[in-house]
Amino acid sequence: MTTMRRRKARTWSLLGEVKRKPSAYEAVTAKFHYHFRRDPAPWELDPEMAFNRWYLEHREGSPFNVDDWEGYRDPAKLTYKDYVTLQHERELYVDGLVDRFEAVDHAASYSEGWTDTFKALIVPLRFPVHVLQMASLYVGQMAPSSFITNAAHFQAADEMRRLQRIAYWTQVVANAKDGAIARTETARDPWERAEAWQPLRETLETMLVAYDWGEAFVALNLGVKPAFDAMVNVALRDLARRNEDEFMALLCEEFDRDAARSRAWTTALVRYALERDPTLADVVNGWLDTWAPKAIAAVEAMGVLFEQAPEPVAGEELGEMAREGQREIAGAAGLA
Amino acid sequence: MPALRRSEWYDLARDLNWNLSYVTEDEAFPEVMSNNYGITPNEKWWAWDEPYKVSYREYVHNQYGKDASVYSVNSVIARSRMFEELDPGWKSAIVAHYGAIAVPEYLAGLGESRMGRFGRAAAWRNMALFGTLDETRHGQIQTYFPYTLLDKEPRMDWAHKALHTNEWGAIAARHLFDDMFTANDAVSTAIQLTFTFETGFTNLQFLGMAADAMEVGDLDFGALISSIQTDESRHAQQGEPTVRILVENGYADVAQRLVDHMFWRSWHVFALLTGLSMDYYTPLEHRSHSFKEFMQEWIVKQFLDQFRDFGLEPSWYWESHFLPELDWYHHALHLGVWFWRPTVWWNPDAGVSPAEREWLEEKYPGWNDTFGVYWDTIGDNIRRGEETKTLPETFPMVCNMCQIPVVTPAGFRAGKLESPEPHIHIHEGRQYVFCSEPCKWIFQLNPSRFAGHTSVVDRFLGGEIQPPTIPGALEWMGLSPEEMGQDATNYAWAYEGLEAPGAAAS
Amino acid sequence: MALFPIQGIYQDDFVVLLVPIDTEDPMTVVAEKIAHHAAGVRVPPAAGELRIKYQGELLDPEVTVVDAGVPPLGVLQAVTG
Repeated sequence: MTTMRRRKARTWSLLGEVKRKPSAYEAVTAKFHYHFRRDPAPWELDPEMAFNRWYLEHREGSPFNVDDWEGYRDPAKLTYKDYVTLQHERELYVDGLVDRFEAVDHAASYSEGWTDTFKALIVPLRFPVHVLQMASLYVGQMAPSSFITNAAHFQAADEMRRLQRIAYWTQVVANAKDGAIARTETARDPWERAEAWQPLRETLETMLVAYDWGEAFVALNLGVKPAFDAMVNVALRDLARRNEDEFMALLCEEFDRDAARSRAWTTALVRYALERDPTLADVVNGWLDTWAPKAIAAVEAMGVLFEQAPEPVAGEELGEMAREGQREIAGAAGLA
Repeated sequence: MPALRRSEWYDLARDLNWNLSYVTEDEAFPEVMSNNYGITPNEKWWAWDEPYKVSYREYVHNQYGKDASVYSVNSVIARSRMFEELDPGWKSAIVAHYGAIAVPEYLAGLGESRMGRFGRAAAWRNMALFGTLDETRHGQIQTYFPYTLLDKEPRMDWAHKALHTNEWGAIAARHLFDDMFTANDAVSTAIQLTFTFETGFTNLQFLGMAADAMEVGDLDFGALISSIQTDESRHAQQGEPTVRILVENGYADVAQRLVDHMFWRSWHVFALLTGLSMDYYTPLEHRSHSFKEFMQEWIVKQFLDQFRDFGLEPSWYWESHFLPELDWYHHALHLGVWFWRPTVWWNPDAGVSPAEREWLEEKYPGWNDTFGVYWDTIGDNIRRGEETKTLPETFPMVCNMCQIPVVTPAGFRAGKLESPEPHIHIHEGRQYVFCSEPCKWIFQLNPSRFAGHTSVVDRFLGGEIQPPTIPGALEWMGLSPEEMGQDATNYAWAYEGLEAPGAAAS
Repeated sequence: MALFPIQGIYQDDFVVLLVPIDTEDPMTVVAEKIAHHAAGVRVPPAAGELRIKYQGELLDPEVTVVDAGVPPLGVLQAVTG
């Protein structure tokens, strides 16, 4: 075997002459998107075919672009192996949580009032969370670097995680209280028709068709999620605790660990972009002028459901949490 | 363990289909991203039902276990001399595999993500999310393993950089995989990536390769491939319910055309990669089947069952073009890859020692009278010390569809084609060259998808490759002198069975 | 005198080649240029005189591609009579 003996190749040649040896994270993530800004077009077909035009318009053509995205790093530095290891351990913890509260038949202890709030507020949540799962995948498939794509794809999986725990507990409560709680219509009808839910559905449906990759990222991770996660992970946690539903409160706190990772990689990406081109702050803030108020209005419209709980969270309190969520991430990202 | 079994709550995680009202269905599921082929409204897709169900918590628990074990195998082996002692031909097979498959698997994650966003049923979108994670795993694991071998084999660098280059095999891989999933709408991807390519080919190829790897003693690659294969069956299942919906809504012809288009394309790249490794690179003593036997017992059988189960027909070319190619096509590609070896990033193993030729003759009666003659001529030149006569001075013609060299003359020589000539097609004033009727047919199905693309030869004739010479082309393809393929056994095959080198100069 | 690409197939070879010839080369020279890449390289040299077949017809040994109306990337087979 005529293997060429040249100086020890410490890393991929595409990573260039690096002083320190790249991490396993970089070795399996760096420069996988050879198609970004590829000449004559991203995909090896007719350069004018519809898909090439879509990517050239919505990715390469997005105003949210810098000279080189490959310097960006997800602060959590998640590889696939790291992600499933992390979530395996967290899911073991949540499995234990479920065991503990099922052992004491916690769902059966729900008051009639809290069961109504559970049915009206928590059960339909799986629909908007599913939309966030879809939107995260779009950001992932359009992102200009595999460092960003992987973070967005893991975020989509986190949304499925949150959704499936809500779905599981919905069935447990239905078995304990009222079988109708587990019917699809019980979740879909409010989502499609109930007044409190329409601003949120309108915001999420219109966000789904914001196809510029930068706008899709900003709308989702800087506009909608900070407000929506404040509503679900923080306000609903407080509401549950006030109504002695410690299980839901702990579940919401667990969801926020995933949301915190999303905030971290989002903040890091915006800071990375602004360091290379400060004028991008106007681009991002321009999109936020559209999406931040819509997300706040959507959350505020949900206030009535929080106020109908036996021990309520006031609508103003909910709105303030959502605005604080947006302010916090905008500040951390250097946008404020 | 939570009290409720998955089946008791699972539907609440996938009954997430709703009627859009603030945006239209066409805005949220545009045809370019999700071709419904006339099956509308979306409600008609909501019956999409995956046979193989899995929840998020099961997924992370299972996948954690798989990665933990397969990475530990890698870390143990990395410290051993196992790789150095592998057969040179087998080493070439895995260097070729990593370069051609690793990053494309990661790309399949973009195809899965496409279905995860633009699939027209929530159950489908959920399965596609798992597919996105699976393919991210496959891309990362199949770059990490070669990464750990860089010090022992610098050509493992191609596992990472192949698709950044214009090496002709990388162009063929990009063209195939972009057509199949990266630049394909969600509905077509479900049928062409998962139903046709994965269920039909890779699911079985991984099984075959894992067994071969264990045979050859490559525990590292064997553990890797068998671990990957267990994911394949899960996300490959997305094709079945998608085909079912097309057939049930009266669009079996659409499903048929999509399958026929991608089966042929998959077959040609499969013959290039797997045909060579099974019949020429895998050490003789470890070959449990010939490529043709593998194709007949696994791929052909699998597809005929699938066609029957889904109310489809065997592709129109099945008898007339596909089955005959089993006898000669990959033999010609092997010759081409070996003769043009400087243009590939692995060391082609000629695989034509006397014992190997005997095996080839037994598995492919008449092999010596056709392909054997080429190797005799080449072997004579080697034995006469005329190595330069065994290296290319011009380009082969390349098919404007599969981007693989046109070897119709070999088909004619083997008595399987009526003419040695390629298939010419004029479209809007430009001449296109195809290696086969089906490749031409695929182009004609949807010319605007392919017409503006230029093959390596088109780019050479267009002046894109400067200087317009073989050395100029090799540099343009991104191959350094050390990486250019060389005969895997330093021509040992040309001397085996002779008393002393050069003794039998004719 | 101008470079002219044709698709060349040498009798019994296994692959179609891109063969650069000259617009003024007679078919005898075209046949040699095709043979150069295959005869004694992959295929034993063919016995007998080499002729060029184009669209099923044997071309006169002295004509050029221009005379015979062969377009760029026309397919020419080098065969023995």
